[in-house]
Amino acid sequence: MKLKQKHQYLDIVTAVVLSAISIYIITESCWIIKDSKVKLYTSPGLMPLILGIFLLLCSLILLKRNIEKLVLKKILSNFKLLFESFIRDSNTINILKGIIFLAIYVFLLVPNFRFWLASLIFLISIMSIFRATSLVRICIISILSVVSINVLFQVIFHVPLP
Amino acid sequence: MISQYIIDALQQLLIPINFITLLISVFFGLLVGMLPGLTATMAIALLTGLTYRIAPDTAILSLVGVYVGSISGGCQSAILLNIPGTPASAATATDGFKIAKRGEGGLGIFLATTSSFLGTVISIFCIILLTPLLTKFALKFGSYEFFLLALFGVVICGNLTSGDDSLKGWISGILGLFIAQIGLDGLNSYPRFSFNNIELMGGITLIPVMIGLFGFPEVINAFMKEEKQILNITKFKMTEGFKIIKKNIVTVIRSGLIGVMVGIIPGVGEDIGGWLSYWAAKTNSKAKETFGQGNYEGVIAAEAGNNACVGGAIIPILSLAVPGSAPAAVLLAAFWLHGLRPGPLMMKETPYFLYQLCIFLTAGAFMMWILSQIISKFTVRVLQINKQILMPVIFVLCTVGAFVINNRIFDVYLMFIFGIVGLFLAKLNYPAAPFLLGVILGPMADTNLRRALVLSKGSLKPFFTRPISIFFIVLIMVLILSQLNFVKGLKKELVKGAK
Repeated sequence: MKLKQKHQYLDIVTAVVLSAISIYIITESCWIIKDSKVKLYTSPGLMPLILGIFLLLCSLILLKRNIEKLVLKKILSNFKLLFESFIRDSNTINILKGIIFLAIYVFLLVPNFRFWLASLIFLISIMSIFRATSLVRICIISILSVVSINVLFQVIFHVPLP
Repeated sequence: MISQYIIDALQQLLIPINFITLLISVFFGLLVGMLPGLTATMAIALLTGLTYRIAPDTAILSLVGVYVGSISGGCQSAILLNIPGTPASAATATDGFKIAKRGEGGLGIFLATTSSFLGTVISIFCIILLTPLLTKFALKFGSYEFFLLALFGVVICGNLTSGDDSLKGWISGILGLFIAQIGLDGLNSYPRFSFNNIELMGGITLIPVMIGLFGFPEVINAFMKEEKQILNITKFKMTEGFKIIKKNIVTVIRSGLIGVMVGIIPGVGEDIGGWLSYWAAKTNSKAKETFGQGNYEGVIAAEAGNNACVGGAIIPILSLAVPGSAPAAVLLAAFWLHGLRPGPLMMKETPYFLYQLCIFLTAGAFMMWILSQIISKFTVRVLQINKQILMPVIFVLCTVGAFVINNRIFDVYLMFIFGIVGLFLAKLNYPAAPFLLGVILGPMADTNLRRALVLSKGSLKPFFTRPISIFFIVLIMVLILSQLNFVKGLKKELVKGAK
C-alpha cells in the first residue's frame, strides 16, 4: 500500500475517533449548561459546546474528504492489510516496546520506589533491551546519569525529586 | 529613565553568578540545539522547572540564553550531518551540508552563527521599537478583542504549521483549546470534564503538556534505527567569513526583518522564519540556480531569519501575553511562574522588564557567537552519541521537569499521557504547535468570550461593530477561506520555490 493511501486510511480512523470525542464533548457540555442553571452565554458549558461543534464539523469534513478518495468496496479489506503491515513493521514493535518501558517507569517504578532506584532500573533495562552498548558501559552510564541528576537537582538546586 | 533601566540590566548581567549562568545556559542551549531530537521548547521547559526556585532575574537570563543557543545550535548538525538539530535549522541544511561536503564546514558554521547573531540583534531593535507601539494598541483591546485574538492565533497557527492540510492544524488547535477547559472554569468555578478527580479540578498544568508533546515523540523515535554520516569541521580564515557576511549584508537585514514579522505571528515558529527568509533570498538572487548547491547566501538567510524569530516571538509576549512560537510559549509560562505579568499593562507596571530582556538577549546572542567559534570542534563530538543512550536519560530529565513545578506525581502521569497524544499527532501529521497554543490561549478565549457576552447581555452585535473586532473577524475569515483549493496553489508555489 502506498504511503499516501496509508495516511488516508489513518485519517478515516482518526476522523471517526474525533467524531466520537466531539459527540461526547457536546453531550457533556449540554449537561453542564443544564446543571449550572445560569444563562447560556454565561454558562461554563458554552465554550466546550462551541469547540465540540467545530470539532465534529472538522472531523466530518476530514472523513468525507478521505472516503471520497478511496474506493468504498476496498476500504474494509484494505484496513485489514494496513493493520497487518503495521503490526509486522519492526519499527512499530520497537516503538511499542519503548512505550511500554516508559509506562512502567512512570506508572510503576517512580511512584513505588525511590527516584534514584527507579531511574537506575529504568535506564539499565531500556538500554539493555535496545542493545545501546555493552552491559558494563550501560551500568556505568546509568549510575553516572542518576548520580549527576541527583546532585544537580537535590544538592545544588534544592529541587525535590519524585 | 530608559538609560537607568539599561544600566540596571547591565549591572545584573555583570553579577558573577548571572554571568556564569548565562555562559552555562547558552552552552547547554547550543548542545540541545545541535542534537537532533532535542528541541528548544523541550530545553526551556526542562530548565523552567530547574530554575523555578532561583532568583527571577537569574532564571530569566538562563532561559533566554538557552533559547538563543538552541535556535542557533541546530545549524551545526544541519551543516555537518544534513539533519537539522532543531526544526528552525531545516532551511540551513539545504545549502549548509553541500558547503561542508566541499570541505568548507568550518566556514559554513561561522557564516551560520554570525548570521544568527546579527539576526538576533536586528530582532532586539525591533523589540524596543515595536513593543511599546503594540502595547499602546493592545490597551484598546476589550474582552471581545481578546477572544478574537485567541481564535486568530489558533487559526493562523493551524494554517501555517500544517503544510497543505490546514484542517489538521485547526483540529489540533481545537483539541488544545478543549484541554484548557478541563478543571474549574474561570468565572463560575464549575468543574468541567474533571470526572470528580481533585487533581483534574485544578486544571491541566502547562509544562508537563509541553514536555510530553515535544519531548516524548523524540524519545520514542530514538528506538527506531538510523544511520548517519558526520563530516568534519575544517579550518578557515575569519576575515574571509566576515567578507562574505559583508557582501550579503542586505540579505541579513531582509532575513532579520522577515524573521521578526514571522515571529510576531502567534504560534508560528522559527522554522517558518528560516524557510521564508531562504525563499526571499533565493527569489531576489541573481544566481537562483546555485541555491541548494552550497550557496553561502542560503545559509546566511536561513540562520538570520530563524534567529530573528526569537526576538519577534517575544514582542507579542510582552505586549499581548500571546506567544509568538512554541519556545516562546514556554518562556511565557516561565515568566508567569516567576511572578511577571507580560501584557498590555507591562509598560506601566514593570517598564524596566522590556529593556532588561533586550540586554539579556543581546548578551545571550554575543555569548552564543563566541562559544560557537571556540567550542564547535569539541561539541561536534556530541553528535556521535548514540540516541539509544541519550534519550532514556533525557526521559528521566523530562520526568523530573514535569514533577518539579507542583511537586505532584500526577503531572508526571500527565506528561506521559500528553506524550502519547504528541506521538499520535506526529505520526498522523497533525502539527503540535496549534495544540500547544490552544492550551495556552484556551483560558483567555473562554473567560473573555463569556465576559464579553455578559457585558453585551448575550448580544453578538459588539463583535461586528467594534473596529478591532471587525478587523480580526475579517482576518480569520480570510485565513479560513484562503484554504480553498484555488488559493492553495499559491502556497505550493512558495514552498516549491524555497526548496
